Amino acid sequence: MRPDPRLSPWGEQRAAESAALTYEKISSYNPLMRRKPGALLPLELQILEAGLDLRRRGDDEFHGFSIAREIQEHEGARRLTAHGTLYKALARLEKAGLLTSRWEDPARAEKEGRPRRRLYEVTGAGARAYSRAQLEHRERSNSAPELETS
Amino acid sequence: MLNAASTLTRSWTNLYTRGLSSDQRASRIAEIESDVWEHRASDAEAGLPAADTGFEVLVRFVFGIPADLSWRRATVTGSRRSASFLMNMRGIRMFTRFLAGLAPVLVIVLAVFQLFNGIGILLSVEAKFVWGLIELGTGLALVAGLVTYRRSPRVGSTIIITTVVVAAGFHFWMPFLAFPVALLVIATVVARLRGPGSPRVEPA
Repeated sequence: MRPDPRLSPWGEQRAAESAALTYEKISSYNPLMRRKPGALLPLELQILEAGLDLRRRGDDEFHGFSIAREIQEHEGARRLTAHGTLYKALARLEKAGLLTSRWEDPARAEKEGRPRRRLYEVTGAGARAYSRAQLEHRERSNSAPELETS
Repeated sequence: MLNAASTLTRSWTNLYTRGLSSDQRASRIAEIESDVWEHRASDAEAGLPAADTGFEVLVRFVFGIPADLSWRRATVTGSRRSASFLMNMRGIRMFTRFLAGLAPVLVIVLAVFQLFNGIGILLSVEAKFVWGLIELGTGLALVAGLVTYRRSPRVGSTIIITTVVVAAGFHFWMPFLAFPVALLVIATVVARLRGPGSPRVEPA
C-alpha cells in the first residue's frame, strides 16, 4: 500500500490495519462496533448458509443443535456454538424475517422419546440476504488486492 | 460431569428467564433442554465419552452467558417498551379527549366571567372605565371566538387563544391564577382543534 503523505507514521499503520480488517473479524461482543442496519453478523451468515445447505440435501427444517453441528463441520471448528450465542442469533434472524420457526408435533417427540424440537426454516428473504452478503463479500475480496498493490 | 453440566445449564436457563412472560420463558427453557438432549444423544450415538460431552456442554453454557444476558435485556426492554408505549398512547388519547371536552366549558365560563366582571366594573361606583372596557372586550372576544369556532375552527381558536393571552397579560398582578387558567384554556382549545370530531365547515 502506497504511503499516504498526509498521514503520520502512526496513521499509516492504522490505515494499513483497517484495510486488513474484514467483516469476519468483527466481534458481536465488541460494544464499540455498531451494526449497520440490515447487516448480518458472521454467525448469522453461517446459520443461513448451513440452513440452505441442509435444504439442498433435502432437509427443509433444522433445529438448534443440528445447525450448530452443521456450522461446526462447515467451519472446521473445534467447538460447537455456545447456547446463548446460537439461540440469540436464531431469534434475531427470525425477528428479521430471515427464518421462520415452529414447534414440532408433541406426539412425534413423545413417540421418539425426546423433548420437542423447535424447527427453523430459511425464508426466501433469508436466502436473498445470504446471496446479497456473499456478493458483497466477493466484491470486497476482489477490490482488496487493488488496495494492497496500489 | 455430563449430568452436572446439563443441570447447570438448565438451572442457568431457569434463572435468566425469570420475570419474562410465561410463553417466552417456557419457549426458551424448552429449546435449551432440547439442545442439551440432542447434544447428549448425538455424542452417545457417535460413541464419544460422556465426560467429553459434559465438558462441551459446560463450555457452551459458559461462553453463551453474555449472549443470554443480552437476549434477556432485549426481551425485557422490548416487552416493557411496547407495553408502556401502548399504555402511554392510550393515556394520552384519553387525556386529550378529556381536555377537548373541557374546552368549550372553560371558554364559556371565562367569557361569562369577563362579561359580568366588565359590566360590574363599568357600573361600579369607582367606574374604572378603561379596565371595565378591557374586561368586557375580552369577554366579547371570547364569545366571538366561540361563535366563529363552529364555522372556522382555526380562526375561532386563534381568537380565543389570543384573547386569553391578552387577558392573562392584563391580569399580571395575579399571575398564579391568570397564567395557569390561560394555559389550561389554551391546552383545551388546542386539544379540541387537533382531536377527532372537531366541527369542520365544508368549503362552498
